[in-house]
Amino acid sequence: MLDAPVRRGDGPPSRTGRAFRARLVAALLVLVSLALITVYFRESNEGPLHAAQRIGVSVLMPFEVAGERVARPFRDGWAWMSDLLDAKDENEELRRENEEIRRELIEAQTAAQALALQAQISEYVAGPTFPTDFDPIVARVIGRPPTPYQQEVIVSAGSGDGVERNAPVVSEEGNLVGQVTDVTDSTARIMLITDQSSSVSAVVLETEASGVVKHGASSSSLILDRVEKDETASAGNTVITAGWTTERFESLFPRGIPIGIVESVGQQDVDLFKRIQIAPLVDFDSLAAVIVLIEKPQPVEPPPKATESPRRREQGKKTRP
Amino acid sequence: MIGIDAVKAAGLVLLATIVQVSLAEWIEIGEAHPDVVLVTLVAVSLLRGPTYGAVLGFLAGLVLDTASFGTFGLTSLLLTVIGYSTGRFGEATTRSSAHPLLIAVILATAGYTLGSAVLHFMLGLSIPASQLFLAVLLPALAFNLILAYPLYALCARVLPPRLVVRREVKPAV
Repeated sequence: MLDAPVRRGDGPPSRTGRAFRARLVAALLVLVSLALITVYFRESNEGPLHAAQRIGVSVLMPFEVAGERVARPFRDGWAWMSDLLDAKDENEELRRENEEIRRELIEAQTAAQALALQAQISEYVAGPTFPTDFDPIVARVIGRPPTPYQQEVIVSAGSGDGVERNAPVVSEEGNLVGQVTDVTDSTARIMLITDQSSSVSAVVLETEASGVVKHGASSSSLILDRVEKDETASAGNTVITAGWTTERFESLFPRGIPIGIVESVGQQDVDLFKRIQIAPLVDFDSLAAVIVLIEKPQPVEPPPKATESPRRREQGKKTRP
Repeated sequence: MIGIDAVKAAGLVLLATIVQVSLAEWIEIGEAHPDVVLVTLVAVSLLRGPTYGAVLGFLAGLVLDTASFGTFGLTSLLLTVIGYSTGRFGEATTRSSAHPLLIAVILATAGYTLGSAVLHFMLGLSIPASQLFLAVLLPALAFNLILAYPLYALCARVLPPRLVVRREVKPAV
């Protein structure tokens, strides 16, 4: 665009003269400008330059007003665009902050829940109801069976943590959950007392009526079966583990672990035993952590005549206390 | 012809000052605005030489100082020097440079910004150098470079480039 030439090919004399004239004009205008600056600073507000400036402003004012009116839509558009961009940035920033706060809240709530659970477990373990011959191993529930037919959970502690097969398992409040049926190095499978193949010898705390706790009609109900007809129980009574011991065998579960509350007692003339409906104390659907009870090692004594009997799995046992 | 040219050039610069004070001052990035007057002055100076540049720079500065209630003569001084220098730059480099307009706009913007900073510093007003470069000079350069070609095209339409009259030199026998 600038290849078009300006005036400069007229020959050396006129070019020199034009350059000199330009320099002269520029120098003159620079001097005038400096003079204007000097006078402007030296004179008062009522001086001639200030007055001229005021007149100039009033002359230019209509142009500025007209220009401002023309420019207003563009200005408004520009401002709208700027505000929009700012609002987008602000929105993004607020979303980020919101996400951060939500994450912190979740972390805090999780930590609080874990702390409350830990406190509950500590309270139970240090309390008088905790069986003295056992050590607690706390484990989190990390899995549930995919079918409703198996009442089991997987927990995050295994043989590496000291978990043993057939060990009794209680909830953080100390209520009976079930027993360990399978162990890996870092996990264990626990059969809940609501499983169809589970049976636990139990007694009614208030009346000493004994029987076997089995699964009920639904996956969250239990019955106390094989209770003699002459034994009594009433709604509201507490059912606990019997924890029997014979000369050769002993129950897998120590005595005194709460199982449930008696809801109703049923008996028909043709039945041999009473069937007592029990509401379990553990909410198996929201089980988050459990305590596996591991029997403390007994002091080794020289075997006299009779040796210590091996422990036997309680399911299907015929012997009762 | 020169009188018509002068009127046209003055009209262009006056129009540029009105656009500057009414529209361009509202467009802002950092602390910089598009300088329509400066780019127009550069274009006119490149098209018509240093004398036009100096005179129109002086007049444009007076109008801007008046309109903005600024220190009378300050902008005139800067624009006079820039108009003259750009005219000289155009005379010297028009044929040899690939992008004389862009170079002229860059030099003029940098000179105007730095010169303004120096003059204001001498008058007791100063801003941090980092702010001067990042918030004023760089955005102003971007604005003015965007305006350069459109405004030059407009100015070249109003003030068409003059043809060179070359003397024919006969070789000596």
